[in-house]
This record gives sequence, C-alpha cells and structure tokens, in this order.
Amino acid sequence: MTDIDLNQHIALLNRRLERERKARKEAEMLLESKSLALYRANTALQQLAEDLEGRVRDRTAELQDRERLLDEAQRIGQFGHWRWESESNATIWSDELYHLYGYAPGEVTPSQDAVLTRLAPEERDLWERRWFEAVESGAASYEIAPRMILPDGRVRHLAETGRLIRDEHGRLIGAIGVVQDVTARVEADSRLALLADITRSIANLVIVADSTSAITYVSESVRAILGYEPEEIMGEGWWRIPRLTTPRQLAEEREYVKRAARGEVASDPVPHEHALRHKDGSLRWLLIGDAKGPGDLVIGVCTDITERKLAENALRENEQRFRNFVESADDMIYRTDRDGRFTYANPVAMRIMGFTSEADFVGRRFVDFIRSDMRGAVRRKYAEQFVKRTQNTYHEIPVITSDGRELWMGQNVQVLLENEEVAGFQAVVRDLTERKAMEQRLAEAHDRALEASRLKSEFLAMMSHEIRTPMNAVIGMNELLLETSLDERQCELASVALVSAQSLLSLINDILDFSKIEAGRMTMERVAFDIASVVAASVNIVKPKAQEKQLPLSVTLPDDLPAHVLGDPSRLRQVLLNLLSNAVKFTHSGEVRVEVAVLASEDTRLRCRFAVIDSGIGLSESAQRRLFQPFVQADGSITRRYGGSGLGLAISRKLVELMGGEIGVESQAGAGTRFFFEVVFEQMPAHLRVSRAEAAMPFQMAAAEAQEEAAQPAAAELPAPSIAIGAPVLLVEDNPANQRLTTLQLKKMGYSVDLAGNGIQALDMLRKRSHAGGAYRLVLMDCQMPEMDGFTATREIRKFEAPSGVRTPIIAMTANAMRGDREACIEAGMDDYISKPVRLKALTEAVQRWMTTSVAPASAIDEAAWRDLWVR
Amino acid sequence: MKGMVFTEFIEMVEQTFGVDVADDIITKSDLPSGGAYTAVGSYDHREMLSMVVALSAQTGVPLPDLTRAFGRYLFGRFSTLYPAFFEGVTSAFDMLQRIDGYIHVEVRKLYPDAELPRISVDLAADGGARLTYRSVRPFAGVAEGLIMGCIQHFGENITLQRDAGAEDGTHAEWVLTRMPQPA
Repeated sequence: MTDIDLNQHIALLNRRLERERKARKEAEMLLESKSLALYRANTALQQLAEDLEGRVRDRTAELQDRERLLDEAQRIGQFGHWRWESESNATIWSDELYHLYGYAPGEVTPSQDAVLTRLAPEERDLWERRWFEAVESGAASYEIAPRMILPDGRVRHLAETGRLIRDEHGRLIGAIGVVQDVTARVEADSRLALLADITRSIANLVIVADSTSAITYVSESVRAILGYEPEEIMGEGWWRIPRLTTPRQLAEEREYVKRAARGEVASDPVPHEHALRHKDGSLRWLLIGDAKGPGDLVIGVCTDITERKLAENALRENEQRFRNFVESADDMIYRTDRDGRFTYANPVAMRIMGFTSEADFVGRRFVDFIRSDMRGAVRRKYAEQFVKRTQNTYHEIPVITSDGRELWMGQNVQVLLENEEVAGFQAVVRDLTERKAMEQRLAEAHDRALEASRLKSEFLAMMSHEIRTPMNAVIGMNELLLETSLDERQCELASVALVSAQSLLSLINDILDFSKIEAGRMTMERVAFDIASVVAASVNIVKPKAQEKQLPLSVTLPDDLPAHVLGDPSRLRQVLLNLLSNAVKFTHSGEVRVEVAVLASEDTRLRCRFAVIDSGIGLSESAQRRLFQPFVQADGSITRRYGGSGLGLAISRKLVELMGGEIGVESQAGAGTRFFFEVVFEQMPAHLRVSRAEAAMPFQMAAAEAQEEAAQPAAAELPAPSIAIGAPVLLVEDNPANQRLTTLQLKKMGYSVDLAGNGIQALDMLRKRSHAGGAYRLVLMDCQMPEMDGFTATREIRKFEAPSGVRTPIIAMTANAMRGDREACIEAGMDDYISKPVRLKALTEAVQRWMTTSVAPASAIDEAAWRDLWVR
Repeated sequence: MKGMVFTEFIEMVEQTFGVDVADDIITKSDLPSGGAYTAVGSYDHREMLSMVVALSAQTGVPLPDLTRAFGRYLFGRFSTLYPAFFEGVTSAFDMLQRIDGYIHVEVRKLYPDAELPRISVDLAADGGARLTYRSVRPFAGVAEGLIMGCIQHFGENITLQRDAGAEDGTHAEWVLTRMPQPA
C-alpha cells in the first residue's frame, strides 16, 4: 500500500470512526432521553398502581359492608335475591333466599330444581311458564307469587319479582330477582277475607260503635234483620230506629256504649234483649251482647230472637189458656208420675174426689180410690198400658171418694212419654154417676120396651091366628049355608053375613099388612110368574061386581111383555086388585080399563107401568094429595057411602115402593080417575126367557079362559071332581070349626076324609094306613097345633116315607100370613101352601093340582116349578 | 425511517462491496446525517434513496436488484436480531400475516412516531395468497426482497409474481403461488 493509499485509508477509517462516534453519542442521547421518559413513566405507573391498590381495598371494604348490610336487610325484611348469568349459567342466591326456600345457606347449589322441589306441586308449572313467557316475550320483568311447602310441612307464601337483563341486541345475558316472604300478609289477608265472609254470612248482626256511640261499622245482615241498608245505620242512624225503649233508657244505653268503647266499663257478659222496629214497622227482638274492640271501639253482636220470642209468647199464652181450660174444665183432670202417684189435680178433681188440699192427694194413687172389687182389674189394664205404651185408654171405673161416696168415672188415660220413656200419666175423668144411673134406668126401660114389643108381636100373631080361625069358619059356613036350599029371606041374611065377614077379614088383612109394612117386616118374594095371568086373575075377581054395575072391563097388554118375570105376584095382585076394586066401587057408569106398558126392558130388569082407568066420580086435587096417606079417604063421607079401611092405597103405595116403583093418580072430580104405578121386575135368565107370543099359552087364551070362568055363575065355579073320587085325604087340624069346614069342603069335592087333631095323631094314622098297605093321596096340614105342630109332623112323615120312596103330597094350611111361612113349609118338606081362612076355590085348586097333575093349569105347574128353582 | 435499516444497509454495503465503497457512497451522497447512523435513531428515508442510487452508480448493479438484495439481507438480519418474533411461526404466510397484526404493533410501542408500511395478506383458496404493500415511502423493492427472504427462510417452494403497483414504489401487489413440493 502506498503512503497515499495508506493516508487515504487512514482518512477513510477516521471518517468512519467519526461517524461511529457521532452515531454512538446520538444513540446515548436518545437512550438517555428514552430511559428518562421510561423512568418517569414507571414512577407514574408505580403511583397509579399504589392509588389503584388503595382504591380496590377501599371499594372491597365498602362492598363487603354493603353486602353485609344487604344480608342484614334481607334477613330483617325476609327477602332474598338471586342473580343468574347466561354465559356461565351460574346462579347465586343470597343467604336469606336459602332460608326462604327452606335451605341452610350453601346447603344446595342454586338451581331451578332446588326451587321446584320446594314449590307446592300445583305451582310448579306456573312458575316455570312465567319465566319462559317473560324470556320469550322480551319482557323486562315478571312477577309471581309461588307457594312453597317447607320440609317441615309449613306453607310459605313468596312474592318474587324478576328482572331480565339483555344486551344491545336484546339477547338475554342474565337476570336478577328479589323474593319476599309474604306468608304473614297472605295469611292475614285470608283471615281478613274469612272474617269479612263470616260477618257477611252470619245471620247475626254485627255493629261497631266508637266512643261517641256513633256506628262505624254494621254488617250487611242488617238488611235482612231490620230492613235497613247498612249506610242508613251508620253514624247516628242506629239510634234513630224506633224501639220499645224509653228515651231515658236509650240515653243510658248510649252512655253505656260510649263508656264501653273507651273501656271504662267491663263488657257485660250477659246479652240483653232489645225490641226494635223493622223498617216495615214490625217488631224485632234482638239479643245484643258487646265486647271491647280495638282502639276506642265496642263491638255489638245482635241475634234475631224474634221467632223465639213469638214462640215463647205463644207458648205462654197457650199455657195460660191450657191452664184456664184445665182449671175451669167440667171434667176432672189430673196427672201422675210413672208410679201412678198424683202430681197435679185440677179444682174439679179436688171437688169430685173430696180433697180439701193438695196434701190429700199428692203421693197417693188413683187406683187406691177404686172400689176394691175392681181395683185388681183396673190395675192390670193400666199396667198393660204402661208396658205397651198405649197412647190412650178409656175405662169406666167405680171410685170411692175420700169422703166415702161411690162414683162412676169415665177415665181417659194418656201415657206421658219423655225421651221414649214413660214419665207418667195424664187423665181426663168424667163423673158418670148420673149417666150410669140413667143408663141403668134406660136399660131397664129398654128391657121393658123389648118385652112389651115381644108381647105385642106375640099378641098380633095370636090375634092374626085367633081372629082368622073363627073368620074362616064363619065365611066357610056361610058359603056352605048358601049352597043349601034357603028361602029368599034366609038367603039374603046369609049373604049379608058372608059379605060382612069377608069385609071384616079384608079389613083385618089390611091392618095386618099395614102394620107389617110399618114395622119394616114386609119383604118381597122373588119367584117366576106371568104378569098377564096376574092381571087376568085380578080382573076376574072384580068382574062380578063390574057386571052387576054393567061396567065393561077391558085389559090392554103390550106385545113385548115377557112370558115370565121374577117378582112377587101376590103383591102385584094385591095392588092391582085394590085399584080395580076402587075403580069399580067409585064408577057408576062408563067403563074400567087396565093398561099395561113396558117402559124399559133391559138385560136384567123390566120396568112396567100399570094403569087402572075409570070414568067414575073422580078426585079433587086436595083429595089426590092426601090419597096415599094411611087412614085417609077422599072425603069422610066416602067411608060412610062406600066403606073400606082407608088403608088400601097407603098399602099399595108402600108395596109399589117395595117393588122399586111409585104410584100416582091423575083425576078430575066427576071426570074419572087414572091410577097408575110403575114397578121393576127382574128379567128371567136369558136361556129361560120367552115372550108371551112364544109362550105355550098366549094371553088371549088366558084372557078367554078368565072371561069364560067369570061368565059362569058362582056355583059353576066348582070344577067337577075328576079321577079323585073317593080318594083318601088326611086332614090335620086342631080347631073343631075348621075341622068341620074343611071336611065339608073336601067331602063336597068327593074325597074321603080322615081327621087328625094334631101332628102325632096324623103320624099315627099315616103309619097305620101304610102298614095296612094303603096310602093317603094327599095330606092337608095345619101348621100350628098342640102336641106336635105341622112342620114337625111333616118332617116325621118324610122321614117315615124315605125308605119306601113314597112321597105323599102335603099341603100346608096356615093362618100365619107372616112372611117366611112359605119357606118354613117348603123346608119342612111340604109341597104347597094355602092361606087360611081356606076359601073353597083356593082349596079346590090346590087339591086338584096335586091330585090330578095332568089337568092342572100350565101357569100353576110353572109357578111351582120355578119356585123350586128360584126360591132362595 | 428507522436507524436500524440504515445501519444494516451500511453493514451490507461494507460486507458486500467493501468499506471504501460504503465510505464512498456516503461521501458522495452528501447526507444530512453525515452517514453517522444509530439503530435506535430515525433518519430521513431520502438518505437511503441517495445511498442506494449512489451505490448503483458506483457498482453498476441495477437499482431494483440492489433494493431486492437489501430486502433479502434485511430479513436474514431480522431473524438473527429478533428471534422472539419467530417463535411458534411455522410458515412464510404465517410470518407475513404477523407483520401488520403483531410486529408493527410491537414496533409502535417502542417508537410511537414510526411510520410503518401496511402489509396485508389475503389467503387464496388454492393455498396461495395476494400480498399488498402500501407505504409513504417508495420501498416496494425492499419489500419484495423481504418477502423473498421470508420464503427462503422457511424453505418453502413459493413463486412470487409482481402483479400491480405504483411507478414510484409506494404501492405494490404480488401473487404468491405455492408450488408442488419437490419429491
């Protein structure tokens, strides 16, 4: 290297060194300033760090204070809080919240589950729903009042307010909530509500008054009890309600209320009754009790006792009334205990029993006063009533009073029950002594009357028999006398005697009939018969009289008249005959007609009208009115002019009524009379029913026969004896007059007659003849005879005949016109029956009927046959 | 411009072209600082431009090649001087992405007045990337050298294609394409 080069190189290195030095110094300067700045910054930083540390310390202490305060506040206020962060999903509970949820602080990790466990089951859904609703709806907060069941079973009511925290995008980032224990408040609220409900619902009226006696509260029941609205009662309203209290009493009452409100008087434990007027004016009874209320208040509780009051009053009145009634009763009234010992006796009882003071009867027993012979029996009866608890018994008892009188008492005894137990007896007793005496007299009188009545009946029966028997003889003898050869004078005398005897018999029959009807002993027969035959027979009887007066007699019968009906032919005949006799009797010129009409023909009944029309003297209106009354004739003169008992129409009317119909008359004085009657017959059973047109013997034939018969003279009425000539007939009759009469009649008819004076003789003769190989063709049997009567004799005869199979016809002859005779005869075994006095014609018919059945009239056969069938 | 870039440039010139070339360009460039640079100082970037232009004239090496070469040298120095920045970094793209997001942030902490270029990396679906450089100074060439140094450092087979940019070198964009790894 050259010097120049070297110098140049040294210069270059110097320049480079210079640059390095310069750069170093600059770097040092820079670094120094940098480090200074750094130092300053560090110092400031240190300062800052120190400051921060202090502040953090202060803040921490402050925070801890506040947290303690918060915890304390929560404990005192019984509320807790929670905080939840979305990102960490962490939940924090305050200590108090643990307590509220029934946990010890830190006992569980705060979670929904920890809360749900404590919630009442029915609250769980709602609790969760409320949270989700708030989250989803974007709400800022929510509230819920859950009910918790704590582990020890207590119920805790909580009120929770939650606030939801969201970021600027509305995303939920957390939530905080405050939970408060409101159990006390909820329970108080429900107690208050219950109290309000009770006050509202109880029937009692509750009022509250302050120390000025102004009403500050009244329950709604005031409306129901007193008819006022609660606001009308408030303040002074209560005191203005009209009441049964004097102004002075009211003022005292208000004074009491004021002092009670102030607590100056102890409230009276006994409620008082007050009578206030309802708004409608009616009186209401209130039972008011009071109690000291809170503050200056007094509480009054009023019970409506109106109904009880009214009932009490009614009861008291009733009691008074009952007492008055018992005390003033005419009857003896007493009460006993369960042993029968007197506990009460009214004044009448005192008087009747001869007591002078209570001491006379209290403790004694009624049975002790009973006449000793009856005591046992009565005691047994009352013992029975005691055991069976029979409500009411009645006995008539003889009693010996304490002053020795014997009285008869009718005693009504009631059992007094208390709780189903017999507590005693109550009796109402009537003094029957007078009545008993009267009953005794009455019974005696009754016995006497019965005896008299029996005697009268016997007398009547006897009279009937006793009168008819001689009448029988008189009439029969007269008839026979008239058939002997008499001169004109004798014949006239005998005729008058016969007619008079017949009138007398008729009169007796009428009176007998009437008395039977009056006694209600007239009964109707029910046998089959032919109406037309009865009409014809009746017409035939009056025909001779009509012919004498030259009065035409005509009969009109309807085509639809049945051949037979069931009824009483003899009574129908009696009525018809009575009307026909009158018609003929009171008609001097013109005619007499009989018209029969069927009014109604039903299945079981036949209603017919019979009319007897004459052109006679007629009847005045007043006579018509009196006509059917007994013992009355159209006018008094008639009796004199025409005779008669005056009973005929009265009997007819009764008989028609007994036959279910009625009788009437239409007439004008001087212009004739129309008597008519309607009667009801029973129809024959359907299979036996035939009309007259179909019947074997049409009415024309019956009428023609009747006509023919009527046209014959009286002597010709006797039919010629037929096959029975000399036939043996046994007459059993005790009365000599009748023996003679009937024997004559039978002999006249051509029979041979044996006579027996009583049943025993008859039986004897029948036996003898039987043993001799003969037999009587007929027996005529009187019913009432000495030794053995006709009924017994008949029964004996039938007994005697029974083995041989023979049956002798027996015809009863009886003066007993009494009902039941026919039945008695048939029952005894007799075959027919004729009434005494025995008329020749009736005897002839009856005898012929049984002697020669082949010639007996059809109607007679029918009647006998039907009678056997239908008589009951 | 940070002093370190100047000191590293002088160092590179001295090592590559000799102490006299370095002294020569400093002298010829008539620099306000007189060429006395310290790494902790800051200097006008035009001094750098003057020196680079002088160097190119002195050596006859084209200017872009010089700046690119300096960039590659500089990246090598960074890896030596600041190994902390390389900890946990495993690839070129990783490193390049950290320049703006981390390294420049740290630089600013020390030098609040430093004016640093913006380097942004957009990764492509095909594994490549687009890299954009913007600066108040025209050192796109240095930047390109730095990128190449980075790729070289991580030993990756990535081609660099200048795509767009400003004439003055304040803005440039490159397409980086990852090439298949040689077997």
